Amino acid sequence: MRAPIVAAMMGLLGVLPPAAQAQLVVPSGQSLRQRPPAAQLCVGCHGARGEADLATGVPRIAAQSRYYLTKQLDDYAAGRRRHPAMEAMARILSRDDRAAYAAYYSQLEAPAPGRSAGGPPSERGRLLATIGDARRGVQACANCHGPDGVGQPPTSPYLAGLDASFISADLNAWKGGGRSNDDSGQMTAIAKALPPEDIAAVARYYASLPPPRPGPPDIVQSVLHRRAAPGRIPSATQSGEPSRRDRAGVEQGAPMTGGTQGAGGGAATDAPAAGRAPEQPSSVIYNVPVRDGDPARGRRLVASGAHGCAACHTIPGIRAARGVVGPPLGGLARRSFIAGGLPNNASALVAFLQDPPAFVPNTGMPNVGLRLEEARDIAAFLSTLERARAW
Amino acid sequence: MTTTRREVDAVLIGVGLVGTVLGRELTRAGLTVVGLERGRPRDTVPDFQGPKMHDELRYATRLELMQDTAQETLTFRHTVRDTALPMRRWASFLPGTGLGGSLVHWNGQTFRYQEDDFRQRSRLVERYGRGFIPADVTIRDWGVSAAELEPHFDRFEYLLGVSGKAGNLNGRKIPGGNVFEDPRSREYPTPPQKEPYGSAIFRKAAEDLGYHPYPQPSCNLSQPYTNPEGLSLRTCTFCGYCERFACEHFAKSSPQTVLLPVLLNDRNFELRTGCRVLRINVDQSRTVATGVTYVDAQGQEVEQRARLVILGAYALNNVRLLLLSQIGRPYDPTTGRGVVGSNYAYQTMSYPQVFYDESVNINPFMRSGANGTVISDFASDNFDHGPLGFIGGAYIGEIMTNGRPIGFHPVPPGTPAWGAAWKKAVVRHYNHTSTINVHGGSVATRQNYLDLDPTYKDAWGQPLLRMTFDFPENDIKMSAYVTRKAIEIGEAMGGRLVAGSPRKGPYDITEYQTTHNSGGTIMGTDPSTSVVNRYLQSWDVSNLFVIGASNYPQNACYNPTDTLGALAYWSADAIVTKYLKSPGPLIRR
Repeated sequence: MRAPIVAAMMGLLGVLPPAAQAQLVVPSGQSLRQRPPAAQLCVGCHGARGEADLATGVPRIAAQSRYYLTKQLDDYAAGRRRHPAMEAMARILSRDDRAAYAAYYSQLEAPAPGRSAGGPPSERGRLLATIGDARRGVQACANCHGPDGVGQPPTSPYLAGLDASFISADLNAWKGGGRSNDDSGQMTAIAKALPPEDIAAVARYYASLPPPRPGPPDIVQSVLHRRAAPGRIPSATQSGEPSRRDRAGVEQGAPMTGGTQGAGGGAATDAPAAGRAPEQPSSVIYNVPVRDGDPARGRRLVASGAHGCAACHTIPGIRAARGVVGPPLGGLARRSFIAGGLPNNASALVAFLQDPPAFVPNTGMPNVGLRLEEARDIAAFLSTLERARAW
Repeated sequence: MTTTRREVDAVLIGVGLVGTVLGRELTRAGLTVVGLERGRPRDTVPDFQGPKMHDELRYATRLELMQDTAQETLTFRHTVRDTALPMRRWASFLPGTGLGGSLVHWNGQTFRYQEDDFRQRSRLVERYGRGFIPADVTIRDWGVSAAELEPHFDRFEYLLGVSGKAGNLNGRKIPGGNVFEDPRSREYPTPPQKEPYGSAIFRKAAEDLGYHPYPQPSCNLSQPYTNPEGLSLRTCTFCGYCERFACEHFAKSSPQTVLLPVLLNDRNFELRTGCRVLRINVDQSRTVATGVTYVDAQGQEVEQRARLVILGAYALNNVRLLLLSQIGRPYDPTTGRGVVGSNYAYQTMSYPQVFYDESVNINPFMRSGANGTVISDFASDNFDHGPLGFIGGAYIGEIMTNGRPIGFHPVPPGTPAWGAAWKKAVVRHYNHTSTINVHGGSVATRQNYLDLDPTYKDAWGQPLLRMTFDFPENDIKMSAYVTRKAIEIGEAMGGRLVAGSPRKGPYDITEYQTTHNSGGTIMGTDPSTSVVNRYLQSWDVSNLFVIGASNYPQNACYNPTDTLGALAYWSADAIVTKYLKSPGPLIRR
């Protein structure tokens, strides 16, 4: 039962031999009908078909545009969009896997939600969505999110049928600066102009509408497929006819925002393609195989007391570790989440141990200064722990 | 039965760019002002909102934001020997109507005219000698210099929040900006918009050929901006619906986004929409305006008395209203005498296209009205005309204002004009074609002019304006030369094919070219050749100011709006600081 999931994760993490990996990792855009193995990670919150449950604050993602989903995952990975669990999820995924998930969910058809919690939609919500408010300087949501909130794929997501509490929370994130990953900054300006009651009204309005079915594959799909090495602007004088490869390189740079992204007039010629944003902003190292960790060395590190683990945790087999501040660590490997916010897998655990607040901002666990090797050894040790019996 | 309304300090004819700027300056000076707008009131919310605003058929094809030709149009002929006929549909140019005027549906291209343009005649004589200007060309100096206008350009650009990059800051040339521009006192209020892919290819090609590319100054904003009036603009989303459309996102500078809300809140200002001015009234002496007569939205005729009249309608309508009001002497092309209607000019456009392989995606739909990269190396007198035998020039740029589905179907020459082969070619080339804009100026000539039509009348029984125009030989030569330069750049852009030809005569009024009509009420220093003085005050009626592109003695190659805004502030400044203190002619004739 557990073996296939672990194998799937390991496939993701690149520890299987190349042949095995090829079977497990779904290349972007291929076999859309089958859920990519590691999409098990998404199911827990977003539902088996990306439909999400109402009133959980988790958005429906089924049939959202592939471009949009890819961009959000990339933005989570790069820290351009903030959410503890989603950032951690996105970071442990390869770029190809993020694209594969997006492709899969963009083509999923999920049942429409039942009636939304939070009361019936108000006329105020409909007016804001379809006309705007001149006094507040707010234009209609429909300008970008389409009539009846069906979206304007590929760039603008649909809002119809999303959970009202999610829409409210998201608008508040735009308003407070927690989210700012639209290219124009329009969403920030709009959200800042909306008082709480208007945010609630527009959220209820969109939650009350039926979500759209999957659209045809994005028109930019072929461009996204062609992601390759960074390229250059074709040099017109060198050859008159720039090579195909050079051009394709520029093209994949930023397919949705107009090619080269130099501030107009700036030096855009030799800049690397903009799509290749840094994915690992801090010094924490991701995607490391945990198999290399040494459980015995990890045990010695924990038992030495050098990092203070025992002060907070109860750890089977270590006499001094009787702490009740944090959770007992017996049976850790069987848990779904780390610190209540991170998907529990080896790679995530190694990353989390190096800098807990970076992944779960409200965790009580401090950064105790573990180096990568130490974190890997400790993670290997922790994954061996059985659930405690006697205590 | 005419109702007479109580006298106010000033009446504005037209509440577009000019009306809004003058309304604001005059109410600020303490005057009571009535603004008469013949179109409808309209605002970003609720009138410009989506998805309706992206209805290409409604706005771009059926021209919902333009004057209704069933009520009023103009008649056209090429020469005085022809009989003019009325335009049933706008095509070559599109006069707008409604509150906010043409700045609601403009693209947002925001260039300053150059000193070479303001002093075109004397500069050319200085540089090339007296015999260089062709005999039938009636270009004149404007009577105002770039240095005099600079503070007003600056003020207008900071009102609009223009996105651009300076090329000449107080005399210091800055690579990457327009190094041919006259000195500006400070940088643009906002940085340039993002450069589209096709424009980046153009920039590289132009640089390699030794030219000086720069980002086109744009009123589709690159970032949020709050102007000195306290109004805020937002960032352009590159939706591709600027020209012929209104902006739903508060991202395009227009009276509604930069000034009108402040003016409408002013207790000294009253806006009346649906009010069509029939004439400007003058007293017995014919030197003092007493106000205007208009038809209101209920069809009632109203006389609005005013101590000061500001005529700020569209260029063509400024000319017509002066002719209908019999103010100033109408121009007579047979004698060359008279002023009102003289020096009508247009612009001379051509559009070479670069067709690429399918591996190069231009994404033409993802543009704004004014973003793109241009060069001024062949604009105005920035190059040596000595051996060329013509005057004037064009700016060249990779500017694709949109890739809208009905309007944009680039196909190479030789493609069938309809049917399966045409459709296939459109699919093949739609996303792989760059358009180069060759945006040429237009000289004034003795034979191109505006007057009242002897036959056709509008819905109110008043004669239509008659346009007599064909491309001057000078401009045909200019277009041939600069278009060839543009094609050379196109060839350096690495496409598979460059196709395009220069503008040729005769002028075809059934093909869209540009809505940059100019002249007819020109400014100048000599009352025998101009309608208004350098402050835009009528030589004949000193309490009448006429402001518009109708003031331009000839048309430069640049888009006219920035210069018009600067002239509006320049004139408003003269009214407030000079005229109001001592009403009467600011310059003795």
